[in-house]
Amino acid sequence: MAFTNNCSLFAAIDEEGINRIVRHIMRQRPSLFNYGTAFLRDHPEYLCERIDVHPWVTARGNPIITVEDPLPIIGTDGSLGLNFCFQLTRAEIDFHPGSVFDLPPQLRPLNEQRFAFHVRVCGGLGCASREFFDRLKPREALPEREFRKAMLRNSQNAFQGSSERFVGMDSAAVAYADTRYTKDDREFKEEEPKPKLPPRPIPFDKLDCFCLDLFAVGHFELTGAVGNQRLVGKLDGLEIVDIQPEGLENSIECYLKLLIHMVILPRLSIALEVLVFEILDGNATITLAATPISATVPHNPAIEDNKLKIFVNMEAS
Amino acid sequence: MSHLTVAVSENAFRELFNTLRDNLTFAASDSRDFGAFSASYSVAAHLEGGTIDLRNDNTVQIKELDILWDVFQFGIGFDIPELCVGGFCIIPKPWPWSGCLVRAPRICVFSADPDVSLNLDLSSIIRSEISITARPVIKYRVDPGRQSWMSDLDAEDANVPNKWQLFIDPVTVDIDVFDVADIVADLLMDAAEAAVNGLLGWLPGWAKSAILALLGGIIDLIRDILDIPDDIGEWLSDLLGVSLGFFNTIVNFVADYFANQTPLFEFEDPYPILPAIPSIPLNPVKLPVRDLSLRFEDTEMVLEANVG
Amino acid sequence: MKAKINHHLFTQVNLDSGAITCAASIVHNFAQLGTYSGSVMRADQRETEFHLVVTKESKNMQVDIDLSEVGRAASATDKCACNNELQADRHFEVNPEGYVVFYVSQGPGGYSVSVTGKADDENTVQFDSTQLRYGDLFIVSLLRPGLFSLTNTNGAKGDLVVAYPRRGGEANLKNMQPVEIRCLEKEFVPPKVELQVVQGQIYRIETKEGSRIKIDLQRADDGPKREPEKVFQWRKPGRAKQATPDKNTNPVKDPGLTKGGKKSD
Repeated sequence: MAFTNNCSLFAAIDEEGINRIVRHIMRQRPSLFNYGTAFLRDHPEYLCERIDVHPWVTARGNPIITVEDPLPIIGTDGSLGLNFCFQLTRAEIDFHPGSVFDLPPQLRPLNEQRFAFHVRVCGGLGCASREFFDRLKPREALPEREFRKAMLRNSQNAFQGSSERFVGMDSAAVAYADTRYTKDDREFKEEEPKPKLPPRPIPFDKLDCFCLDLFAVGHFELTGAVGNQRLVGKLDGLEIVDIQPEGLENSIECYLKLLIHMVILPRLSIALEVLVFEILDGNATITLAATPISATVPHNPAIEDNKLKIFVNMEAS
Repeated sequence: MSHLTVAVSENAFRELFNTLRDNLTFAASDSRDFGAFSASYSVAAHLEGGTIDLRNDNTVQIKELDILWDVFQFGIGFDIPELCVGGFCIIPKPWPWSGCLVRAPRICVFSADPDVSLNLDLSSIIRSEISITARPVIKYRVDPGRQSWMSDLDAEDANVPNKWQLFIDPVTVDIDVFDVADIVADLLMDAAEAAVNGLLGWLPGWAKSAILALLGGIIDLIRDILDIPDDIGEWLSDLLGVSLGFFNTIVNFVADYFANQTPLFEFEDPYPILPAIPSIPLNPVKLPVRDLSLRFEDTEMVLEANVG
Repeated sequence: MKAKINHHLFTQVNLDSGAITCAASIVHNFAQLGTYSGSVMRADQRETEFHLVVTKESKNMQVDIDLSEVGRAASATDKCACNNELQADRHFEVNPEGYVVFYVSQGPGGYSVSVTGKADDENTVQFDSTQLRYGDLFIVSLLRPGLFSLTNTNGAKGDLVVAYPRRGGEANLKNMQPVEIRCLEKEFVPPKVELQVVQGQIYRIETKEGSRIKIDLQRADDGPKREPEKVFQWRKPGRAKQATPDKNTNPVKDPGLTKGGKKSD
């Protein structure tokens, strides 16, 4: 049976091919898979996992991580935070019926028209150094407003004169702290309402890293109007292996699910024309459109035979 | 087993080919001296129509491509032979001899053999079709403008990226001149009359008529000079095709156009799958394509490749 | 090569055997052996002269003497007692059973020829082309279509009708036989001749007295009047490529039909 019996163009890619593509994307666009604070952007040697990047990335000044604000310390009104990183260090896809990796029991079996997704997630927090803790005065029982003032003074004292001794204390953070205090009386000044600044990261010696294996199952969909259709992945289920207690696992899974669903997969969507090498791009009268689902084309895109398949029709304008 | 498979149906292939066909424009001119006469042509043409048949012997057959002549100027130059009055027998030889004893002197109209140039517009006269049998050919093109120090991104910025190019390499190209309209005889005669009229210049109409009568009929005259058989169309085809090598020129042009000049389609290598976002900045994500192969099957064209 | 047209062929419509122009010639037989001198005259002025030897040793049965170019005639012999090349070009020999053809190849013409001399048998020989004698021939080809009058100095008259060449009738002009016309004492036989253009005419002189044949255009025939062709075209709606009308269709009934195939708005 010919590939194009029921369509004009047909494209298919197997698991090995798509995993190579994933690796190319990870190397050429690492910021899609690596997140962390500005400090870690500037000091990638502190990341949990070394990022393998294509020479073009650094040569052209592309970011290797997507910068996020420090993780705020609760109760500091967002003024203090921790450096952190979050990395997807390995990713591989397995198409139905599945042959690349084993799914955890919770996701087995891999259903028809589904793909499985395995990523290794590594993360780490830049916890405050012992020296930083030593400089902090014991907590005093003060009214809330006074406590906050004292805490800020306290931490400022801890920062004071020691910024170069602590990892994670950048010049911007010092400058920010100075705006909140006068050097003469160290009196706390109530701020005028203004855009909230990111938390000031607490210095750290090294990140405390962990890695998790995350498995997911999903399917592909073609979205968008004709002429602007794109192939995007949709997440159906996700499971993290070996994490306790269950509530923590569920919470992390929820978080990662949102991250993958809302951030990573949309950015990996590929235009329909690209999938078929833009073969008919030179023809202005032709528009490509996904072949409608029918008895002859029951799934489009289809995941079968360890391949992702797409059926496309030509529409003459 | 290749990582990537792209198949193009016969209909889609036709669209691909139509684009290729529509971009083909042909122009040529030549002239040649055949002793008794000279002939020349100046043409410009494009292709229309055609049927596509993909075949499972890894060939594609393109038939009935009409050659549309945007310009088809055909010129013939020849000398009108000596044209004389008299020469008839005045006194035959007496018996028992035969033949002529005395002939009337021949008085010639022209002082020498005059030149006549006929220019015919054959653009709507000659109907011809072209048929091609071709095989797929893949070429990897390194742009000659690409410098050795350039990365693939640099090459893309300089618009000199490497490319995979897919050609259809003609195995046979046939031109079938299946119809030269009968009107060509009238055209030729009208052009000849116009040329002779021009040559005779100031002479009054009756004198021109007399000379034309003396010439024994323009068509007959031209037939004699140009050695034209009964079928002028056949003669014209033969003159253009064989003597002037005109159709050979077209065949070579068409073959070269499809085989070398214009790919059926092409794409960059590495192939961009995610676009650049300059504001961040982010490079495009590009995929190295390896082991590209192309084959024609009964109803589709199949392209296979590996991801490098 | 660009050629000059011998336009005298077309401008000299009227012909006169006593003033030879293009497309006319005179044939004479010098039967008596001897050496003669000839003068080429135009408007009573001697233009040039030539020598003619009539001898049995000559194999020339026809000598063409181009009066417009005496001295370069093709049949001039190289065997003569001439002092220089110019004289050699004016020296002709002919067999007594042969004929001398006087003609004009180019130029306005209007020549006459006078040949005199004493034959070997002492008889005086004189030939004057303005007074043709029995046995002489006047050869003519007419290019101008029209009605011509034919007259002789002896009073004979006749008519010539040269037909306008018909398109498509060219083949008839090939291999046309010349027409022979007898010039008798008081008439031409036949008295009226219908001819095609350039068809040869041989006037055979059969008069005792000198003859001078004149052919004059009386009424020109400039051919059929050419009227612009009335072209009617009809095209079946939606079939623009159909170039010719259907035989069964009466185009006159089409209310939108106009000359030239254009439809009125």
